[in-house]
Amino acid sequence: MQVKVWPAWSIVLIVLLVLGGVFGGQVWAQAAHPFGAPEQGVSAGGPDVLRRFFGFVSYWQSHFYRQLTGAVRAWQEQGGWGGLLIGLSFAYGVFHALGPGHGKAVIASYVLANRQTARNGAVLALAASLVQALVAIALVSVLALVFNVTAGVMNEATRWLEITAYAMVVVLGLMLVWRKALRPLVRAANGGADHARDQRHAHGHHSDAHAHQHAGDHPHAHDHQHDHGHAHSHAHSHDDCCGHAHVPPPETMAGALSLRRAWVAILAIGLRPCSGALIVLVFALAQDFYFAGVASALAMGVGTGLTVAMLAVLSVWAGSATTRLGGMLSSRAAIWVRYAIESMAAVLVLALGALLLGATLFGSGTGG
Amino acid sequence: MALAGLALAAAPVVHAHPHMWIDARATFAFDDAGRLSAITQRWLFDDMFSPYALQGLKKNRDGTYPAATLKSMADDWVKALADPISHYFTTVKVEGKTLTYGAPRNASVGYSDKSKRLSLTFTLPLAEPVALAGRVARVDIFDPTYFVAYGFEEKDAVTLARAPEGCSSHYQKPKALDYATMQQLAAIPADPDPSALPEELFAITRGLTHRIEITCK
Repeated sequence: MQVKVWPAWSIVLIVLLVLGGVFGGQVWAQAAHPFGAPEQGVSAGGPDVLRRFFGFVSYWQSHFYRQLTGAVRAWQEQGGWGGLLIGLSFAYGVFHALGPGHGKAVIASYVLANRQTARNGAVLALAASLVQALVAIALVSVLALVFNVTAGVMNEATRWLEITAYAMVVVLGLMLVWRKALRPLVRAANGGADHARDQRHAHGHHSDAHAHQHAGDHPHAHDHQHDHGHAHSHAHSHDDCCGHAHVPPPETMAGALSLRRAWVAILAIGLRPCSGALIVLVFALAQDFYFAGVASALAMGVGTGLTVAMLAVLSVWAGSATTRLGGMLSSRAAIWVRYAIESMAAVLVLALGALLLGATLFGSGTGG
Repeated sequence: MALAGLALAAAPVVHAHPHMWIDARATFAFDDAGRLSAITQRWLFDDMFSPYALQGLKKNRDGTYPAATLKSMADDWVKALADPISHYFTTVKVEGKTLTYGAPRNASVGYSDKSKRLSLTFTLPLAEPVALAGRVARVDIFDPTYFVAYGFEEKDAVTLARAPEGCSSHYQKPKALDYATMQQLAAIPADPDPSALPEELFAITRGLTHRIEITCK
């Protein structure tokens, strides 16, 4: 049984979303900073209350950051377990996460678009932040500790990681937009049961199988090696998109987090190391106390991860609350609200990725 | 509701907090005709950025760095600072008109093995020296991206050289950073021409910068 979708309406919606996706703020390309430390390159305006909040965050972030050098030295001189440094780094990580950044946006949108559970969102956020800390540690360990390259080379390496990360946000966005915004429309338009179409769109079915596995609430999960014929029939009986009347109730969330699916999101967020971690690592290295830098970077990662995890949980709650609101009208409305949330979140990821990648690639003539 | 949350998470305002602190000094030099002709600045970098900048560079046995290494560092930085976007992070205005600079001179980088801090010294000559009699030169030194936080806390951080009788400098610390203005600073676009900033934003940045005023009777 089909729920009729109104493709024209949906397209209008998506166009509005893309326009709104840049948050009405001005976007500008930031040239390399004269002192060359690696930084992101996009800015957007925002309502005053947002600026105030970020200002507050920025103040405390600086406050903790400035004390890191003293804490490294104190640990080095006085021994102990480095509680001061670890505490300050953790606090820095918390405020770093509360500040603006692409990681949170990607996580929040990803969990919404994928109808993840709060737990999965939190796990994803923590994993991404820890990957980010490990990337910083690996970068400095290999480039500075082993090869002893200059800051310029490290900035260049960071820039390439950043470009890769943003490209992955774009890929993630494309995947989500196809799966969550476009495919339901295509399927609805084609009646969803056209066998010939299904054959031609074998790739789409492959993704279906993924989506299914991701949903994970089915007793017999499929692996990637299944044949498409199977995926095809499977997709028909257990499609989770809104093209079918038997969508799961909005409360039904994805099951256990599938790393095989989530790794794009984790890398899209974690590949770009944060400047604060890089600088503290190099500082500790120069002090011949590299271990302290590693501890500090990890503590930052945990602080950031826990904070982003909270944000992911909030976004999951907000998403299901909104869907329930739609559900009070009718089950069809619930399906539509869910579709709107998921496709908007998907478009948001894509817009953000395009924005960041564009600014990084073309915003600066000098690089870095 | 969900989307408001997303927008909050997503607004990618960056450079939202400084990653570098500079203890700055500035000397304003006058020419034979008693006109303001050049500004010499010394920027002492913080102890976290300094090792980052020095990473991978060969040291001498005595813990110093080869003169050639420091020289090329100085040249690189001054060249990067000339970029219209940063333009030496220094603005001089007389009667509302922004003065232009000639090519910077005497760029050098110093390193103290004791404090483990780097410093950059350079002189910015004014393209045309300006007579200040009865006028005020307003100097602002700040990073519009707010990546660098400047401080002029040292004693005699602002001095005059060969100034005519009756000239004096006045240094005014930035207003205490309140969160909102701090963030507004961070959100200012890096514009090639600082005077093209919207007036209200520019007013905010001025309140936050280290304002130096030089007056001559």
